[in-house]
Parts: sequence; structure tokens; C-alpha cells
Amino acid sequence: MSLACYIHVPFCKSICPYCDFCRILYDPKRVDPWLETIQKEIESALSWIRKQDGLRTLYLGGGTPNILSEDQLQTLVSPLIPYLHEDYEFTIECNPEALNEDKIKAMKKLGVNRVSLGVQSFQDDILRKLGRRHTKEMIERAIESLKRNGIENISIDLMYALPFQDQRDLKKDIEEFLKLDIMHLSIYSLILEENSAFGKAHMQPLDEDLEADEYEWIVKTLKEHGFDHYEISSFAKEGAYSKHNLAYWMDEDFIGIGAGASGRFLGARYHNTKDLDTYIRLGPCRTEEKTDGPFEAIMMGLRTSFGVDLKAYEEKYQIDLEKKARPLMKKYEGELMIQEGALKCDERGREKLNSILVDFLDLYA
Amino acid sequence: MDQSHIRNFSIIAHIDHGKSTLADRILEMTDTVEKREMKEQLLDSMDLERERGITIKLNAVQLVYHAKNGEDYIFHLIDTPGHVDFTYEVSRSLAACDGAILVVDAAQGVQAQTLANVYLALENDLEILPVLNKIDLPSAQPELVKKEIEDMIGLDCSDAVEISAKSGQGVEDVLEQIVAKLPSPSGKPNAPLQALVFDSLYDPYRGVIAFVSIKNGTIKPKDKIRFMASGAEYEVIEVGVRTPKEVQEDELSTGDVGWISAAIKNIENVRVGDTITHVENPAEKPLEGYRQMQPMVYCGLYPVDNARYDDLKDALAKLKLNDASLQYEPETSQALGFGFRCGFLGLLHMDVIEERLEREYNLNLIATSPSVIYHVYKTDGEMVAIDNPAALPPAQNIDRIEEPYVKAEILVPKEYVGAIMDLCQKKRGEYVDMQVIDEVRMQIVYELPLSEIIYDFFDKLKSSTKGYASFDYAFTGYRPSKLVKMDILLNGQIIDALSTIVFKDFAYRRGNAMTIKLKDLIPKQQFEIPVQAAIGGKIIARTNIKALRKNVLAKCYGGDISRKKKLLEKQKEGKKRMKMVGSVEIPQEAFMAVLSMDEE
Repeated sequence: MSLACYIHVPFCKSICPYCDFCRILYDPKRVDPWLETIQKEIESALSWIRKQDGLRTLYLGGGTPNILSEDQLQTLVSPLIPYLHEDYEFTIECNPEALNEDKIKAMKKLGVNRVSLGVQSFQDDILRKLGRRHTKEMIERAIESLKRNGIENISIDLMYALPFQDQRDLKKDIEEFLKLDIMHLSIYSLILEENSAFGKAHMQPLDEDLEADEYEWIVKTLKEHGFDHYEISSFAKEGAYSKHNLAYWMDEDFIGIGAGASGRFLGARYHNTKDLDTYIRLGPCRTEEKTDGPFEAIMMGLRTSFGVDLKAYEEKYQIDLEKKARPLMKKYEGELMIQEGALKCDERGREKLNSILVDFLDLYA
Repeated sequence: MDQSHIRNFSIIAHIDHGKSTLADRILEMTDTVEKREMKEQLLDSMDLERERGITIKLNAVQLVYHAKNGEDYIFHLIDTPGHVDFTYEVSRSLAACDGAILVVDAAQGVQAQTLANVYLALENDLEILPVLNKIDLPSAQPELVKKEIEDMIGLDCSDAVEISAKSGQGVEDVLEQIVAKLPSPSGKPNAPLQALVFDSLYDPYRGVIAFVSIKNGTIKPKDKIRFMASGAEYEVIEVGVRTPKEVQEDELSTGDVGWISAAIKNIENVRVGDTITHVENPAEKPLEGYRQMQPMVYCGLYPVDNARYDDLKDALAKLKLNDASLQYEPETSQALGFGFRCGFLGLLHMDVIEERLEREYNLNLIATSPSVIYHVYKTDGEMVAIDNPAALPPAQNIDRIEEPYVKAEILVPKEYVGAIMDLCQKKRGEYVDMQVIDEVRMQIVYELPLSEIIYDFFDKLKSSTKGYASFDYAFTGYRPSKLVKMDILLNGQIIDALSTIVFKDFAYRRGNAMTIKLKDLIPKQQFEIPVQAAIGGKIIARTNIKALRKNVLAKCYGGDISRKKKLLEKQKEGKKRMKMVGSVEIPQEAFMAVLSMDEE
């Protein structure tokens, strides 16, 4: 079975106030040593990739991967390119402001065939409050340019449940999105992470009921426009699913490369050091994580509309999931059920997935 | 060492006036503890004490002081708690002493507990050495405070040492005064043994360890001893002192303060306040007992997991050994199962006991809202004492209910007098007296129902005076009140553990506040849950906990699921602290909701 590969590029031009992910202010002096280390890490991953029959997907996430120059991108990914399958998916996360025509052309030449664009909102005042460096105009220019250069498979990230965004703003953002004729949308509610600037400023989250109203409105509207709500935060038209993310959700192994990256090897999860200096000095410093396969398969699978396949689950973990989940299907009647040989949540069930998962944790304790 | 070179003393002070810091300095300056072993507030050995910065259990330490006259002296230093709830502990440690160092903050002056502790010390005939601490604070006013001590307490302050316990300045003078001014123990080594038990603890390997102050005679291993009140007899295995490490000694003689182990397995037999004597040649009579403290506040304690009832019982027995003021007896609740009704000296005492049970005995507990003891006079003339609202007889059988009142003395800066009087009126207080203490402070005296004080009086007092007010209270007697039982219904079912007794005129307001607070505390569940407050079947307040709709759903970025999993694990741990009552999951805090609700 071929693999999914994630490469983390931690650099950003500025740090967004809602983010507490592994991100570092862009410093040209640190990019080259980082690049040297990551090349070594990729080199050592190749033997695993060879054994696993190559790569099905390659995903550059961040940070802001398109902050790297054309040459740096080339140096980073070229050792992996020969292992990409014929029907591969190669995604780069991009911020609109750093996406010029030259960079797009270089990306296309490298084999990039999907771009995930960090849009967050189409309204300049909200973008400013989110600390983003781009404007609506830059978004539109970037999308036009991507399409013109033959990168049609575009996904957009949006945010909702922002304290400084009302329902009219949200509606406007969704309308703008629909106008653009894009196949994929990931939409996330604002989570006030303790270590983010918003969190430290004790920003108050949106009222729970209002957030639920917004979420339900988004789901309804996008479905009406022909989008498949195939994962809690993801919508796709005509099967334009994120193949890479599906590997996470469908309980598969994946390679994680770079400072701050996570991966899963033969069912065991690991993560690399988040500290860039440590990474540069000592390499990935891989730490194994406590992995609980049978639970994690449910935790990830129930996020999707496909659910957890009972037969595959039993083969992998020797657990009769239908029997195991029975008390919870009773508790969450109509929200958690067996359908077409898989354990699934309906829309309402997915909305309260955390509560369902906490009950599963108890079941697996 | 010869008895005239022994000094047994305590340090007494209002909370935060620096008693534990002074103890630390004394340990350091007598080389009792080497600098590198020095942790802040060394005598506070319980984790809980160090975290909260308060002293709960007393501790006795032996140290040697090389005085300026060239001679060595043995000091036994007994540390005491400062909070109003722990007066009992203070009276126990003082009975083991001959003198006391009174520490007063040179900036804050005499506070409520300064007075209370001085009175306890005087009751025990102790010589008192006044010491002014925090002399290095810019706001220190040593001359003013000395005058205050002389005026309010009547202690001569002409020789009072001015110190900074923090920096060590002046501490040596304190040590010299201990030698010069405090008396040595007066007992007779040849007289029959009288050893006062002032504390005890349970050691799983050695059984009960009794801490004693030897008032007369000597005690050594292999002695046959008798506890004069309980009558239990044992053979002494080891004796020793704390320095503060435990050190074995050949014997303890008159004037010594140390510990005794005698393979005592039955903790009931060692009562604090008892006198130990020899089986042969016993003392004629025991030493005078201690001032017994009566619990003022009661609450139910239940294990979240009913299977751990016996563990809770065991833990309470062991804590009681260490804390004689704790009282408990079994009770049952429809909602919570089997547990104990426990009596405490006050709210902080309750809080500390609950936390010690959870930490030291690894128990997961539910505490119900605190209650006082009500005297319920029934129509048939019988009086029943009720410490659990759920046990109140039906209204038609009640002639009247009386509740305990206390006299509260509040010391407060002048500008807050209005706010305090306002607060006392709201809490059904009756004005008694007001006096000018000095240029800045007043003493206000009110009679208040104890039940109003145990709720949020202390917090309100502090918040309406920016923390400047301090107060102390004493029980005055029972008075009839218009009281009713308020029940709480969840999903239509009365939850007995949530019932409270309230003043009738406050019932609507409190019912409202209570239902709203519960709505906040009880997480949303699969179905809507009505929350109601009722008096005798009549609903007086109602709200709903809406059915759960949506969680906050974080993304698993770059395949990193660790954070998400941690969140779920945390929520699962939170669920462990919930009690399933009927079909509703209730978190522990909900049973104490009445303490944290806002009635304004």
C-alpha cells in the first residue's frame, strides 16, 4: 500500500493571532540550515517509501510553504518526485500574498497539482483583525493565476465563529466562495488556543448556540450548492476530496517530515521536535507517541461521512465494532448508527462528536 | 540537658504576619537545618500547606541555640496555624508550651487573630514576647503598632524587638530574648510521668505516633504506659525528637517535647489532650484537658464511586487522629448513596479536610452544601437537632425552627464602614456596637445567623473592602427564624443532596440564583433538563438546561491528533468526577453550587 507524505514548513512572514501551531518568523539565515537537515530526513525516509510502493500523496503544510523560493522548493521536494504514483496528489498550502505568477509556474513545473489557499475571509477588515497580510483582491488574483497556470484543484480555508464577525459577514464569505467556482472548502471555527495571541488576550468565544446556528447554516447552504459534506470541516464537489487528508481519517500510515511534523509508522504514531534549533542541530528527534489504534480509528473515521468500515475494522483490530458500539448507538439514537456496513454519525452526531468520542474512550478504557 | 536550659514556645500571629518565615529563619540561624536543605516554610510539611501558604498542622522542632552568655539552650519550637478555623490546633500547641512569641506585622498592626491567639496564650498562662515584623516595609509604623499592642492587649512593648523575618534582621535579638525572658519548664523529673498528647499521626509501619510535651517525669523505651482518658496500655518502643528530621533518643525527660511510638494500631485510643503516665507509679490525675472545639459547619461527604465507601471511612478515621476537631457519622442520600455527615470548625477547615482526603487518600469526593445545626421544635413538643436539610421533618409537624447566631467582630478601615453595615444588613445581621480602634480603623459588632456567614460572607467581606477587613466570630446562642426547606428538582426528580434550609424571605431570590448556577455547572446532555426550585411542592424558580447540540470541533492539523486526544482524555477525566443521578450526570461542583452563586 502506497503512502501519504506530509512535510512541515514552519516559516511565516508574520504570526497570526489565533495560531499556536508550530510556526516561526521567517528568517532567511535559518532556512538553509533547516533545508540541509530536512534533506537528510527525506533521504532516510526513502527506504520506507520504496518498501511501501511509493507515494500516493505529498502535502506541504505550514507555516507558509510558499514563502520558500523556487529553488528552495525544488531542493526540498525533488528527491521525492520520482516516487509519486501516476494518479498522485501533490498539495501545497499557500498564503495569497506570497503567490506570484513566477512561483505558481515553478510549482506547476515541480508537479504541484493542488493548492490549499489560506483565505480565512473575503473581507479586508476581518482579515486585518485576523492579522493576515492579504486582501480580497490578492485572493482573487491568486486564484485567477492558479487556474490560468493549470492548477484547477484548489481548496480554500475559511474561518467562522469569530467574535468580530456577525452572521451577515459569514454569509458574505460563503457567497464570495460560491462565486469563485472552487471544488473544495475547509471551514474551521475559531478556537481560542491558550498559547495564541487571541488566547492570551482572553478573547471570549462566540455563544455556543450561535456557533451551532452558523455551522448548521453553512452545512445546509453548501449542500444546496452541490457540495458533499464529507468530513466535519470539509466540503467537496464531484468527489474532489482531499486524498491526503483521507489517509489521516481512514486510519492509514503516513510519513511526517520536518520540525513539528507528526507521522504514523506501522500503526505507531510519532512526532518530530517542534524546536527549530534543536531540529537543525540534532535532526528530527523523533518521539513515539502513545498510540491507541482501535480508538483512534473511530475518532478519525467518525469525522467523515463514510464512517468506520466494520469489516476492515474487525480484520485490523479483531473487534466486533457493531457489538461494541451498541450501547452508544442506543444513547445517541439516530445520531450514531450502522449504515452500509460502516459505523457512522449523521449531521447531528458529527456536531457532538467530542461527546460521543469521550463515551467511546470510556468504552475502550 | 539541665531543665533550666530548655525553652518551649510557640509563635503566634495573625495570618500572613510572617510566623512561618520567622520559624524558617530561626531554624537557619541555629543551624538546625543547613541552608541547602532549606525550603521555604519548612515547617509546613504538607503539600497543601506549602501551596496555600498557610499552616494547618502544628509541628514541633527541637533546636540548639548557642547564646551570647556562652551557654547552649534547647528550644522546642511549636508552629501554629493562623486562620480562625484552626483555633483548636493553636490551643493544643499552646498547652505544650511555657511561652509564646507574638508576631505582629508592623504595617498592618493588631488584627482579629492576633487578639484571639493572645487570649488563648493568656488562658494557658504563657509568657508573651511581642515582636514587630516586616520592619523593612516602607509602610511599617513600628511605634504606632507598639502603642496599639499596649493599648489593645496590655503588653509592655518597651523591649519589643523590631525584625524582618524575611531578611533575618533582628532575629538574633529574638533568640536572646527567648533565653532571657521566657521561663524554663517547671515540672519535676522525679515526679510520676505526665506527658501531654498535643498531636498525633498515623504511620503505616509504626502505627500511631503521639507527639507529647513532658510536664513531669521521664519516659523511655520498654516503659509500660497508660493513656489516662482512654485507659489503653502499651509498651513504648521508641522515643525521640524532631530536628525537624525524626531523631531517636534514649529518653524524654521533663521539659522535652518529642514523639513516642508504641505499636499503637487502634487509633481511637490516642486522643489529643489525653495524658500519658506509667502503668506502675502512675500520676494521681491527668493534666488539665484542652478547650474542646465544637464543629460549626456540617456537610455530607460521599465517594463518587460508591464502592469506595470503606476507604473514605478509613481515611476519615486516620484524619481524625491527626485533627481532633473533625467529627463524622454515617449518613445516606438517595442521590449520592452511602457517605458521612462531617462537622468542621469552619469553611476553610472543611475545604482543607476535603482536599486532604482527595490528595492523601486518593479519593474522589462529592461534598454537599454546608449546613449549620438547626433546632427544630415539633408540634408534639420534641426538639430535634438537624444538620442535614434533607432530614427536616414535614412542615406540618414543625412548630418552629431555631438557628445558631454568632457575634461577629469586624475590623475595617473607616471608609468601608458603610459597605460592611450594608453587607451585614443583607445577611440578616443585627447591629450591636461600633468602636473607634485608631485613626484609621473601626470595629463593628453584629449578631448574625451563622448560616449566612458560612455561605459567602467572608468572600463578600473581602471583596467589598479590597481585602482590608478581617473578622472573627463566636457562637452566642439559638434564635427562632422563619426558615423553610428548599428542594431542587432535576428532570422532575428531587435531588435530596441539593436541598437547603433558607430564610423564607430570601427563598425566591436564592431559588432563582441556585437554578441559574446549576444551569451553568451542569453540562448539556442528550435531552433537555428542567431545573426547578421548590418549597413544599410549590415551584418557585425554574430554568432549563438545553439539550447538547454542538461541541467545539478542533481540526487535526497535519495528521497531529495528540492535542485532540489530550482534550478528549481530559473530558473523560472530568466525567469521572460526575455522579449519575437518575438519568442526569451531575458534576461534583454542582452540589456546592449554593456557595458560588450570585444573588445580586
